[in-house]
Amino acid sequence: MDTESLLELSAHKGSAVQLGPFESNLKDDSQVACRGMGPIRMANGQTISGYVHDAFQLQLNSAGLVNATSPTTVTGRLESMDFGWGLPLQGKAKWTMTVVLNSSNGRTLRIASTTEFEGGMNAILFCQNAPGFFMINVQALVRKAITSPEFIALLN
Amino acid sequence: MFARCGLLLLCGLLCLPAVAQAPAGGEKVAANELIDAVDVLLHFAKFQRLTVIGAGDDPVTAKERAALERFIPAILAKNGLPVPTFKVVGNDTYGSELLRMIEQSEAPRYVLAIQSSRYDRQTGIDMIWFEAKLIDRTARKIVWKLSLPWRLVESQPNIRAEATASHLLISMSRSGLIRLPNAVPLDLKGQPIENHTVFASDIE
Repeated sequence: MDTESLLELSAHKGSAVQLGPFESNLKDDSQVACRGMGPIRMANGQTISGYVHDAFQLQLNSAGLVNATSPTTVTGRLESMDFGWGLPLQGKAKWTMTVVLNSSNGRTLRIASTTEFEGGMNAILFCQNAPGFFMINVQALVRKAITSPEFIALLN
Repeated sequence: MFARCGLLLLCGLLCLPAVAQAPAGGEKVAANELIDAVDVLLHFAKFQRLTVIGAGDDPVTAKERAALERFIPAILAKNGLPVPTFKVVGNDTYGSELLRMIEQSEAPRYVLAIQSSRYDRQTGIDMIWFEAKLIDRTARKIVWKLSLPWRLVESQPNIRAEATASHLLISMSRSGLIRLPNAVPLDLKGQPIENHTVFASDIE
């Protein structure tokens, strides 16, 4: 939950939407390989795009902007995701995601977010900490979308 | 000779954390006046299990949590910053409760949200990072923020919770948001709170 985004959204009460499903362009929408230490998995059989959907849902819901009877529906698509392992000579580790939001009113918003972090030599610690930075990147993605001047146009 | 060297080394290691007692200053992002009271929302997140995204547990133990819940509002009030409303929330209710607090008509102008934001695992040092954000209810803007480390070591939770509250107060004072009634924050018995349990690595 991003506090800045929440404050931003709270100014738009009354612009409620339905949040529809998020689709994915990823080959595997449930896990991602991590430095030969086995995959980083999603919990409880959730998909990566489903996690991104839930992050938007929680943020919009908390601000009172979700209404199941709203005539406007916003859906999403996880266009791409890249996980850089930050191995020596590769620069910092990073998560990069691009999401497209489509409103039933015809408006579209494409948002990308990258979160960099130190890779380090210890693969075990790296793969234990990487999910935390994934979550930070999703939060940054949600913040970037919500604070974009075009976001409110999706809700009307 | 070796015993003396060992003693010196031991003293050096034990004394090292005390060198970094000064808390880091918070980041003031908007002009504001001195504040005389603050509502506080303390958030405990669940973090992912190892190499799993999206599920997990709160790594802060029940004793640590109880200490933070007790000492943060009490130490703030003891040092001249009353806390009329203090609430503790998890992930599901953080957003809605924060907005409810902001929209209360009978409330101080500022809400202090202390949100657990990151679980940092390092060799031998696991810690939670809390992000403290002071929100101006009228403008609905964050006017000051500070990162607060919490080491997951279980021992001395009360003393460490006092030090965390002290860290908040000193940083707010240095940012010109409050005026401490004493040179350093006092504990509930009126004694100066020592920051020896806040390690240099916590602050950086």
